[in-house]
Amino acid sequence: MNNVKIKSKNLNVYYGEKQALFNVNLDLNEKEVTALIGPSGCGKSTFIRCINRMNDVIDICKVSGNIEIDGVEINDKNLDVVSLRERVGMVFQKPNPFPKSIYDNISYGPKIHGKGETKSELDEIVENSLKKAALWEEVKDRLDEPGTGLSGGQQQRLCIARAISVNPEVILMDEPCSALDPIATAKIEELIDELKKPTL
Amino acid sequence: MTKEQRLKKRHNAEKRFRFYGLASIFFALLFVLILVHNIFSKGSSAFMKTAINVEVFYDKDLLELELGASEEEILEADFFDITIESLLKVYPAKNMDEEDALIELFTTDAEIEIKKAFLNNKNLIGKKINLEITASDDIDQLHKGNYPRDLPEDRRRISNFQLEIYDVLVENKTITKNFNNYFFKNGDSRDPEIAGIGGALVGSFYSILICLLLAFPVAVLASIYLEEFAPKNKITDFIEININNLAAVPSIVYGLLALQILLATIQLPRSTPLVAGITLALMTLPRIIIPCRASLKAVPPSIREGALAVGASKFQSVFHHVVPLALPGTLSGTIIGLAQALGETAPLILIGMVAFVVDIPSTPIDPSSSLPVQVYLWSESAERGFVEKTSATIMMLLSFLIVMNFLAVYLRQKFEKRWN
Repeated sequence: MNNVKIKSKNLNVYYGEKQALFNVNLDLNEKEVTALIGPSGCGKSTFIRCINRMNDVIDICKVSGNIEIDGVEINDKNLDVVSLRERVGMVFQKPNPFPKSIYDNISYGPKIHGKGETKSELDEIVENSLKKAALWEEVKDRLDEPGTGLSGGQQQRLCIARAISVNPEVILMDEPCSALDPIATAKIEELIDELKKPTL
Repeated sequence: MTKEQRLKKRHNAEKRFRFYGLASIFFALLFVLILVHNIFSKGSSAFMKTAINVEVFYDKDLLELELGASEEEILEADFFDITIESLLKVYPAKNMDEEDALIELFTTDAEIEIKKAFLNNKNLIGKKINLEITASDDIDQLHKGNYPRDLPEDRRRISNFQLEIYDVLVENKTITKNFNNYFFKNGDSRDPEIAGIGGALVGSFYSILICLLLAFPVAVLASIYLEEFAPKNKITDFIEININNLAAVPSIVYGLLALQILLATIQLPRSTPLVAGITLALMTLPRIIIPCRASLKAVPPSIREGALAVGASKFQSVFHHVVPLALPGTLSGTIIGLAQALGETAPLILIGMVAFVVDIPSTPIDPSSSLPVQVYLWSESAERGFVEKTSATIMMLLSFLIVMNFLAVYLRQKFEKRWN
């Protein structure tokens, strides 16, 4: 049995007057893939966006209750959200690569966190991230082409590679395959399965 | 109604709409053509000036100059006598009145032109040289065909005797049309033949430069703060409404504001490009903020979220991702705002730029004119020669505006990046 990584206690989320989550109590384990299933509008996205505090961006959204990662409360006003998001990466429903080159898409995260001081270190991070996201073989010859020029499935894997590049402890994925065809979906599902392995 | 009837009705509606669209475009183009034709037909002749070939004799005795005289001595020397002597040789005049009439055919600056030719070649003492002396405004207009010569003499500015000389000059081919370098080089003047837009060009350039330096950074930073960082509450709503209102405030109000605050209270020098630039910057500020905010708003939120999700701070996500994407829209908004400022007249009149300034300003704190104000000034002048100068100045102004608008489109297309 793996250890508990994320612990949510009596989590309530409100969008203005409307309450979206009611007393969510949930433990999520380390080195596991946990999938949340439910009808649309039931609060799946709202819940996972609480884990890396992406709800902060939405003005009318209010969160009460507790979420702990490794026993540390993250719903704390004094917590540095930047370092939280470095530990908890996220992939969105719609692929959102930056309108920059494939290389810059991946190297942006490591750069702003001071990982990969030299060009060769950055090259290594980019290559490893793309390999883990099973995209390396497809794009290794055109790293300087814009990331937005890839196909939908490739863009989503690029976003996964971007999330991996900063070496997060948790990756949140918000319906990452909803906009993709079955073959691309299969590739990403396979990739998710690979990512949970402790060796990676 | 049957299916066929409905189909026919829909097709007719589409045809009608198409026709209305084409008709409105046709009318718009027609009016642009009429405007451009009107300006060009009136203004194109201003780029040429009429000159009369005169044989100038640099008489040593009249000039009281020795060979090898210094530049200062030449500048102080009196060229009036040799000017009169040379001009009178063009046509035999019988009495004083006829001599005066003959000299009136030439610009009042004839003496300066003769002196300048001498400054260019100081070995001319005691020698003869043929110079193209600029003709007076009346002869210039007559030669360009803008002046009706079939009017009775008492209603004409040119006497019968002068017309007689003119005809002889035309026959001898001593009267010519050259490129009018005075129009670009000279400042304003009471005499149309030597008046130019040099001062107005420099004044407008300084004004727009100061306007750009003040308005662009303030407007861009204000819109980034308001759009990305400011909390959405009553105060920011109030600021937003006010910015939109300021963009619609008549420009003359900004002129009054500048008159009271910049000239009366702070006592900045009046009629200067400095004050004009500050006034235009105030006026342009909201007009840049609005397109700038719109282009920031057009950046999809998914880009911001993507940056935040890899651990970029708010500041990093805005300056690394959102601002570069909004830049093309910001730049084209700025250029269009500056183009509006370039053509603005009313506030500049109030801060004294309407003053008659002959000198070309060398710094932004020298009194100066500007292109639109020069158009206003000349359009009020009685002399016929200023009519073509007004249109020619409008042509210059329009060509600057066209260049700026093309630049805005070019920058937008060049730097625009696509997302998804």
